[in-house]
Formats: sequence, structure tokens, C-alpha cells
Amino acid sequence: MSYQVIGKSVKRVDAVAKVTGKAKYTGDFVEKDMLVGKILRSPYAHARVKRINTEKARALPGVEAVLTCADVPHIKFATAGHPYALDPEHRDIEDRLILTDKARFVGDAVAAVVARDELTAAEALKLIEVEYEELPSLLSVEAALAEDAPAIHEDRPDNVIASGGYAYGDLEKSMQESDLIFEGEYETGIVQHCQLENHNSYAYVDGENRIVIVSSTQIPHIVRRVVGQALGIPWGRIRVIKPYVGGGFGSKQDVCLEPLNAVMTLAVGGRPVRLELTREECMIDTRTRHAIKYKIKTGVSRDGKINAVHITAISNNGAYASHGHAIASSGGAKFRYLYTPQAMKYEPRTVYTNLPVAGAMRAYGCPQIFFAFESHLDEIARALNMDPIALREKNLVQVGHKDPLSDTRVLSCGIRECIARGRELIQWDRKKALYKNQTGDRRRGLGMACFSYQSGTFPHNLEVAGARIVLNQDGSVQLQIGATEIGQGSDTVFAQMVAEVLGITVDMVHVISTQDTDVTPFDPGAYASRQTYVTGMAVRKAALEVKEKILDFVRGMTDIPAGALDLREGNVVYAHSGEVVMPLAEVAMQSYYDPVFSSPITSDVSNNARINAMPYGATFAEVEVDIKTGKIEVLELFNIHDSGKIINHQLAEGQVYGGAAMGVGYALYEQLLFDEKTGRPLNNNLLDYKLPTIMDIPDIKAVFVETNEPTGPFGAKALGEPPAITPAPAIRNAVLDATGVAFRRLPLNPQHVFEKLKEAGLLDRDGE
Amino acid sequence: MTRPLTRCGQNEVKRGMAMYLPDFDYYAPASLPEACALLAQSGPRAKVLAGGTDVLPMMKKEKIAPEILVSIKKLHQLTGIRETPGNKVVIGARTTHNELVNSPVLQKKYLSVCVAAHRIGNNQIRNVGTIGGNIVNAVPSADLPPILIALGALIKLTGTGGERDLPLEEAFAGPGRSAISPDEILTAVIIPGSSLTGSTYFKFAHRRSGALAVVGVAAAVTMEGEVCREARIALGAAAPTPMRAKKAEELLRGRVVTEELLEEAGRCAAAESKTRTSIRGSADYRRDMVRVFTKRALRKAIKDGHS
Ligand SMILES: Cc1cc2nc3c(=O)[nH]c(=O)nc-3n(C[C@H](O)[C@H](O)[C@H](O)COP(=O)(O)OP(=O)(O)OC[C@H]3O[C@@H](n4cnc5c(N)ncnc54)[C@H](O)[C@@H]3O)c2cc1C
Repeated sequence: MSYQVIGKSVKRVDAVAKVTGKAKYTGDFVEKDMLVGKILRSPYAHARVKRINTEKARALPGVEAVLTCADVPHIKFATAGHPYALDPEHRDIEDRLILTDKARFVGDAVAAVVARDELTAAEALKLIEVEYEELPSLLSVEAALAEDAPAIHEDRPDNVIASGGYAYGDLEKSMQESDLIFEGEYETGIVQHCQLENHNSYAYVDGENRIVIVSSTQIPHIVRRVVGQALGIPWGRIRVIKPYVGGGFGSKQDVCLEPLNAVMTLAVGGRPVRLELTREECMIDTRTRHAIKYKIKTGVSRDGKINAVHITAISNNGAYASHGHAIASSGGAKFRYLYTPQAMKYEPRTVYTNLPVAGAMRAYGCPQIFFAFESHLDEIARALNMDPIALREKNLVQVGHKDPLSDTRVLSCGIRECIARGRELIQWDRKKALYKNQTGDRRRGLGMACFSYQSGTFPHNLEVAGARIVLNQDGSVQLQIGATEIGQGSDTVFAQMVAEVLGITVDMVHVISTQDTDVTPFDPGAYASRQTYVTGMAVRKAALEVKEKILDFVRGMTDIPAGALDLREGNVVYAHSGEVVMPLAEVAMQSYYDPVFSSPITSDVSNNARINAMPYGATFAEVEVDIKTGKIEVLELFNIHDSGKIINHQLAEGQVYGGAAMGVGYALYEQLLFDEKTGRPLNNNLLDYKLPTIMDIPDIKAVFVETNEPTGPFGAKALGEPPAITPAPAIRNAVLDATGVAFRRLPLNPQHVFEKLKEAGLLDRDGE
Repeated sequence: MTRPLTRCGQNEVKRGMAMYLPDFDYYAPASLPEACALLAQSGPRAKVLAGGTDVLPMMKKEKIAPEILVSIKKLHQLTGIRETPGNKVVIGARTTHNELVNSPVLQKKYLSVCVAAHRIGNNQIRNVGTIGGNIVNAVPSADLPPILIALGALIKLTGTGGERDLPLEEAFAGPGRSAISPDEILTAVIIPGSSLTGSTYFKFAHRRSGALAVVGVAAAVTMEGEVCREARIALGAAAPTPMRAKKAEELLRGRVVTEELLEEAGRCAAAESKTRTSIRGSADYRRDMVRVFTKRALRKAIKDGHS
């Protein structure tokens, strides 16, 4: 299929607005006499609030309201950014109060103030007197699962949130029939999204007594519903507006600020109140990525065929459920599309602890499980004396594969080509041979890792999306989607789709980027790498409908059958010859102003995508390990992706650079640390939390193996999250190759690496 | 008495800022005697303000609460990098890190100082942070003291009582405590003329930019063929203050340099260090890194001159 606009690196539709500073983010809007809200946070990881005295705070001049648990609706609600489930069994866990009377992590919100400015608000917080009754804090999954552990939430006495796994095949039999059994334990750390723009919102009550919330969110339509639920008011009384957003990576796929912000404005008679978190607050009281511990047992035949896989996982969810019940299980489900053992059993358990809340973060459970399994595979390859690539190639999924547990089929799969490209680009065979017998202080190694992912959440969740198009008088169009541009470039991709169908240039498509639940069509939002695939279907459908209406209108004008017409380069043309019939702008003018036939052309569609498609890819990494210090340098990093047809290469590369860089951070640098006794965060700031800088990131190379996904709009599959999945295991495997030491815990920071190398005998007693 | 230029702090803070400075009086005296007098008069209530990259964050975090900040920005004699007779290099206390990095004098004579300055913070910090602040702030992980100590630097102090010179290594009393008295102003850092043939600084940190040292090791040597005539080793983030590894230095003096000797010097420096555990690394790991980087620094100073 040849396209005019699809596949071209057109300029981002918001490039100029962002570069010139004209793009307005939540913090750029100023309401007259806006008040400021601030949150009082628990200093204890687990404590009952016995008494709060707010008198002094209330008496401080400039303080407009002081709120405690007793002043806000006492309705437990769920915060996860999932579409509402009509089936009560499938709903998110409702365990959160707007302000709590029992603190469950250091930083839990126990009170809040609204004041005339931030300074007064900060002063007022200091004047609130809280008496706590400290409870034993459960700071690890082991502590939370202990026989006599207290319940963090009364209705979950065992502290287990969920344990939704799966099994297929006869595991025992397949294990027994295997020549060799391998076992390994792997563990990932807690990391944070660190998106550029901190969480920020403001709220007021409008003239019709409705609550208006402007928020930096990935999920405006879900925010509206959750605020309604949390406050116990009709959802239609809430209006959520999402302006430009400075990134989220999943931390804004959750309702963090808005219910409290709504309560704050109600407490001050509807006057506008801003609630903005500092970076330090963002890092503990939005969301984190789950630390997960895996035990893997794999039955393999001597030639490298994987017969049976048994994985158990314990996921540390922190204090509230958020997405917790879904993440470990989702990671396991997406993982199922890469290799095809005869039998598999996946047993995850997600556990409450008294730590900050883990939720969605780029690739939703996959960075963890692929770190574990791809690490495990390289250990198997070593034991079998097999090349890691050969081992994988023996076990990869084929096009046509039907998932044993659902109706989902693999209809396009470029993983083999991805691996072949990576092998060639990094010069795998040559360098592998070269690095065989190294002895010096600095040793090099190569590693690779593969992944499978999904495009959206079907069949687990609803995948509905809306799009609306209006043909303007000049032949340009307005495009409205319910999907959320948060920096990833979805608005541009949608504009390209519309331009392609309507035969116009991208600058003739005006995308309304602001989401407003009063105005824009329904769509759950930016997550699960769903928008290009799922919303793209709706956009394409809306554009096709407009096209049909245009051609139909031209038939009315000219008597040329619509089937003989097409749209190209801003004109209505004869489909067979390209001969111009008339400019599109002329049709548009007629559609508006013809005295008899006037009927401006629009479309307004929803699309329920009851389908999914699997993107694939691999990371290849070369590292150099300084044996004497434990410092790992990534020399080369290739991320090779099959995301179907690439709609915009430049944007796609941007996703890969950012995602792979996050993966490097996950592998080598980042970890949120907590005091082992008190659960206090030790590095919830960007000085002590070592997010890698651009100087620490290798020159990432983004490569695409383009397949044509038959279910995707223009052949596209998901891309947003996947680049972050495999850098960590690829780097880890490269370190194994360089040193012979199998690391099983993230991150591979110098001290950890040094200690393991010492333990493994690579350095003598005093580290020489 | 001098009047404060402005009353700054919270009351001036506009709505919407995230961190707050407590109230303070701000002075910018035009002469050194005036500045010293003001400091003497105000006692512990006052603090010198240079680039502010240490003072202001500490005030915002409420770790210190000076009532008076005395800016040295009008004291122009505190600027500039000069070579003086006797082969000395005199560096004004207000010299920023990027001025060190870009100084032709230093690039020619002591590139190692430029390299150390280049490893500080990030470009924004290097544009405002000063050599004087880096010294007087006295944190164990500061990047300039080790290389300057290795080069035998002195600091020039002016107080109400007059002027004095102090070896830099004696300028530290403890973590965050400098040994200069509160009414004194550091005016210059002097690298004396010497026969040192090479010097270098290794900063080992968790990332290339915007990270404090896990350990920092500076070495300076005078080589005569294969023989090490003089060696000076200074460690950062290895003790409560920047410190010399004097036993390791002693070991090297007058000896023919071999890999084994350097290794021994590394072990010796590690044994002398008094590392502690912090978020950036355990005491044991830091000690190991002192050993590794002492050896590497010596090797580089011996091989590559001032680099
Ligand atoms: C993000 C960030 C990263 C950083 N990274 C590094 C790093 O990598 N390495 C590093 O070493 N440091 C680092 N620092 C610390 C700081 O930038 C440096 O120590 C800097 O050199 C301090 O200089 P200043 O001029 O800003 O000092 P100021 O903050 O103005 O003053 C610091 C102290 O010195 C006193 N003082 C300053 N000048 C004089 C003088 N002439 N006479 C008497 N007293 C004086 C002040 O009273 C104060 O007590 C970092 C700081 C930040 C905020």
C-alpha cells in the first residue's frame, strides 16, 4: 500500500506551540484570586490518626479552609485509570479516602489547607496538630505476608490484593519430560516516573454549580467519573479539562489530585483553588513502579526447546491498590505472546505494604517480568552452551499463533527480523568471539533481550474511542478526539491519518488538543500504548465517513457516481485517472452555503475495538564493566521494534530514545530508597534519585522492522511503552557475557556490581 | 552603619513558588573592610553570600537561618586568575567553576584544576558556584579541595584583624564547618610555585553530571625519571573533611615507581581514610574506591603531567 502522509516524518502539530512557549500547561492558567491548597502528610508509615486539632491553623490570617478526614466525603473509591466495569467483579479496588484517618505510608494525606497563597498554606500546615497512634509498619512483602502481620486494610486481612494468574497445559508432565530443569530468582527495584511536569490541577465551581477541574492528566474522562464517585455526586456535575501535558508515563493514568482538589473548592464556596505537588511530593504520593520478586522454574530439552515454565511472582504494591491487581497479571499476559512452551503456570501475588503506592508505569508489569525471564533465558543458554540468540530462535512464536487462553491471535510478527537486524548491527558474532577470553580490569560483553507487548487492553478491558471531524469552509478540517496528547505525539499521528484519508496535507488538519469532557468525544485516555492503534481506528473511521459524505455531496453537485471519485492533494478527482473534478474547498463552500443543499459535512464516531495486536522487539547492548569499581558503561544500544507500519518515523524514534533511556536508568541507576525501620523516603528528589542525565545515556539507535498488522489502522501496532522493556535485561545479559556473573537484582549500580563481582571471586579478598 | 539594600525572603516571595526563603537582610558592601566590619558586628547572625548555590538551598531547606546575608559581589578584588612572580597562581575567591574551566592560565599550568571544576554539578551550577564557596562550605565531598590540597594551595583570608594565609588543608574543622572565623572573608586561593610534574583528580560519582562524589581522589607528584621525589594525595568524601593520605605519600617518596608500589599506596590510602556509609555508598565500598582511584590517580599524574 502506498501512502502520501502515513509513514512520513511530518512535523509535530504542536511543535511551534511548544517551542515558542505558547502551549499552555495546567500551571500556565491563572484564575483571578486563585487560592492554594496544600497537603499535610503523615510522618509515619503506619499509624492511626487519633486526634487532629486544626484550630491554630484555621486562625492563621489568610487560611480559608482546613480539611481533615471528618470534613470530606467518607466514600471509598478506586483511583486506577481503567474504564468503568459494569461487572462488579471486574471493578478496581475501592480502598482510598480523599483524606485518611489511618496513614498507610510516609506521605499519606491526613489533612489539607486552602489559603490565599502557598506560603500561608505552608505555614498553616505547621500549625495543624495531629496525634498519631503508631502501628507496626510492614515495609517488605515478607513482612506483609507474615503470619501475624497486621492488616493494612481491614477488609484484606492477609494483605493480599490480588493473585490473578493463569495456567495452561500439563505443567508437571512437561517438566518431567524435560531433559533439564533450571531455576532462578530475580528481583526489580522501585522506581518513579519522573515526568517533566509535576502533578498539577486547579478547580472551581462554575455558574451552573458544576465543578470544573483543569488537570495535567492522561485520563480526563476517567477523572470525571472518579471525582463523581469519590464525592458521591452525579458525574455530569463534573467537567474536566486537560490542556497540554508535560509527560506522565503512567503516573497520571491515576486519579491523584482531583478529588481532593474538588473538595477544596467546595470548602471555599467554589472559589478557584490550585493543588500542585512539588517534585518531592510527586515522588512519594503519586505512583511508583512495582518492585516484583520472581521465582522461575523452566523445563528445557537438551536442544534448547522450552517445554514448561512455572513463574511465581510477589509484587510490592505499597499502601493502596491503585492498578495493583492488574499489573502483575497484565505483565504475565503480555509475556505469553513471545515464546510458546507446551505448559505454563503463572502465579502472581500482589501485596499491600506500608510504602508509597505503586501503579501504572511505562509497560505495565512488563519491564519486571521480561527482566526476570530474559535474564533466566541467558543463564539457560550458558548452561546449554548455546548462543542466547539460538536459544530464543528455537522458541519464538509464529504468525498465526492462537493464545491458548483467549481468542487473541498473532497476525503479524517481526521478532525474527528484529533479532536478525540486531545481530548484524551490533556485530554480534564477530564481537562475541573477540570478547571470549578477557582478563583485564575492563571487560566487554554483548547481551540481548526480546519482548512481546499488546496494543491496548482488550480483551481485559473495554477499548472504545471517539473521534469527530468537521469540514471547514476552506477545505481544512477540525479533528477532535477523546484521546490524550501528553507529549507522545498522538495528535500528529491522528492528523496524518485524517490527511491520508481525505487527500489533504497535515497542516489542513486542525487538531483540538485540549480535552474537555463537556466537549470532546469519549475515550478513556493515554495508556497501554493504545491510542495510535485503538483511537487510530476511530479516527480512520471518522475520516472515511467524512470522505464518503464529501463524495456523496459531489455526486449531488455533478452527477458523477461517488464510486468513481477520490480525494487527492486537496481536490476531488476521478479515481481512475486522477483528473481534477473540483477543489475540495469548493465542495466545502457549497456544503455550507448552497441555498438548497446546504449541509455542512461532519462525522462523529465511536469505535469499540474488540481486538488486539502484538508488537515485538529486542534490545541489543554492548557494555564495558570496570571490574575494579563495578561501574558499567553502555557502549552501544540498539532497540529494534516491530510496531507494524510506522506512521511517523521521527516521532517513533523519539519514543524509542526516551523509552530506551528510561530502560537504561532502570538497569543501572534508578531506585527509590526507604529507611528500613521507618519507611521514610531517602531520595525522593532529583539530586539523590539518580535519574541518568543525557550525558549518561549511550547513543541509542532506533530501528524499525515494519510489518503490516491487518487489524491496525494503516497496519500500525503499539509503540509507546515497549522501548522501555528490554534495555535492562539486555544490559544485564551483556554484563553476564562480560564477567560470567549472573546479576539477579535491579539496578546494577556500581556498589551492587562490585560486591557481586567480589563475591564471585573476580576480585581477590581485598578487591584487587 | 551600612543599611541593608533590601529586605528579602518570604514576604517578597510571589505566589506559586515551591520553596521558601526565610526572611533576611541583604547587604552588598562595596569594600572589603566594610564587609569584614559588617560580619564582625553581626556575628553568627550573618553569612557571606557568593554564588549562593550552597547557602540558598540550605536556607530553603531550613538547615540554616542567617538573618543577614553579606554579598561579596561588589568586591572586585576577589575576581580574576593571575600568574604572579615566583610562579604562583592566584585565584580570586569569587571565581566561578566555569571561569576555572576556561582559564588559559590554569589550562596551561594545572589542567587538573580545570578538569576538577568541570566535574562539579552541572553547567548552571558551574556558572554561579565559586571556588571560595566550595571551600568555605566545607562539605567532605566538595570537588575542588582535593586537587587544590594536592597542589599545596594556600588560602588568603581577610578579617577585621588583618590578613593571613592558611594552608588549604587546615581550613576544615568538620563536615560543613570551616576553620576560618566568621568575620573573615576568603579573598584568594594561591597555588604556590613548585616542582610538581603532574597532578590529577578523579571524581567517582553515580552519573556524569549533577552528582556528588562517592569518593574523589587527587594526586600530585614530582617525578625524576622512574623515581617519585614527591607525592601528595588528597581525598574527598573519604573522611569528615578533605584529607591528605600522608602514609601513602610517605611510601612513595624516593621510590622507583612500580605497579606494585602504586597498589600498595592505594591500600595505604584506603587504610588511612575514614569513610562512612551514606546514600551514595557504604563505608566499605568507599574505602575500596579510595584504594582503586588512588592508584589510578597516581598512575595518571605520573604518566600524563597535570591532566
Ligand atoms: C545542584 C547542585 C549540584 C552541586 N554539585 C556539586 C558538585 O558536584 N561538587 C561540588 O563540590 N559541589 C557541588 N555543589 C555545591 C556548590 O555548588 C559548590 O560548593 C559551590 O562551589 C559553592 O559556591 P557558591 O559560590 O555558590 O557558595 P555560597 O552558597 O554562596 O556559599 C557557600 C558557603 O561559603 C561561604 N562563602 C562563600 N564565599 C565566601 C568567601 N569568599 N569568604 C568567606 N565565606 C564564603 C558562605 O557563607 C557559605 O557558608 C552543588 C550544588 C548544587 C545546588
